[in-house]
Amino acid sequence: MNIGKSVIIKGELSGSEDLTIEGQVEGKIELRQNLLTIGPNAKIKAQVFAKTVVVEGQVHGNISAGERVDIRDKGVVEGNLAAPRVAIADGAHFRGSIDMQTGGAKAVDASDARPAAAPQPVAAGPTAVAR
Amino acid sequence: MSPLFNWAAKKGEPVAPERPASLITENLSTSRALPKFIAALAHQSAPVLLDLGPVVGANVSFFGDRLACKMLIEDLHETIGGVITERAPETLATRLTDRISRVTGPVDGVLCWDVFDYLDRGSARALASSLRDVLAAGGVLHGLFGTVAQPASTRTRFIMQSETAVKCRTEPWLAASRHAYQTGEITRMFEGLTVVESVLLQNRTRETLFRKR
Repeated sequence: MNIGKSVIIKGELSGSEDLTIEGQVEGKIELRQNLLTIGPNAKIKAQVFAKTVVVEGQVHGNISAGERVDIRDKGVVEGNLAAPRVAIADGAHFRGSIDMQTGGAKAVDASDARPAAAPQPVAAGPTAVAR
Repeated sequence: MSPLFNWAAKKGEPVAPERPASLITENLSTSRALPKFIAALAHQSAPVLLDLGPVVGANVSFFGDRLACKMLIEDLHETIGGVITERAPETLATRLTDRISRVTGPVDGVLCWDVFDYLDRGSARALASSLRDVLAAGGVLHGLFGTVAQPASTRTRFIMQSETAVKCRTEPWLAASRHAYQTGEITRMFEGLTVVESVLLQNRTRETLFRKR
């Protein structure tokens, strides 16, 4: 499933299938059993929970993955990572902490210290705006 | 004394030559202090490691695999670069200490790499003091200190290859001054920490490992 680059979502996004985001999301993303790909055009301001997270675009917020976080060479992450495996390519921008001690799914949460870019609270429920 | 950090590509080549800014060079070097740094953290459960250099994915994987640690990345080159760009050197000490003060909780290990070479005396002392405060009892701090002051328009990324081997990738950067501090001055900067290892390398860089009692 893809979320195109003209789509803006404010709120909570959850699901049980792999997802690629090219648009903007503010709030929270939960795909705990699936792969989440943040595409090159995507701008995310959210807490992210997924099985595997691939970042090619921009993420401001904490990322927690059950298996792996992979920040590609053009990826930008300002926030804390929690995952058993973390890969950061040359050229990627990262600012925050990396916790590889635990399984990730529970490690970075709202209570975690020093979120680098905690998103503003948003109303529950997705609001999609096509431009 | 063995050449632990061979910056020159070939034996006998002049040390720290002026490099054209357009070039990226890589050299493999050997460390005596990093194995002790890793050993000091390895016996701890879930250590917290503070890295003051630019993020290097290979290092994240390396330390994650060996130590199952939590890594805090505070790229001080970013802060130093901002000060150079804004031509506001008087703000450097404050910016550095502010940044370290945001590190939550004590850390078990600090990787300074060569960041102190880019700091004036006041900023270096202020940063050393902040790091000493944030370091946990028994924690270790690793640093590389140049002994030749010189202008530089490059910076080096240190990429762990093994516990004793480090790839040094020198790349173009902002025009900055590299400072040199005497061994005694370095020791005084980190007053309160004990020198575990201090090796003067053939390239006139001092590799030092400190421990907090």
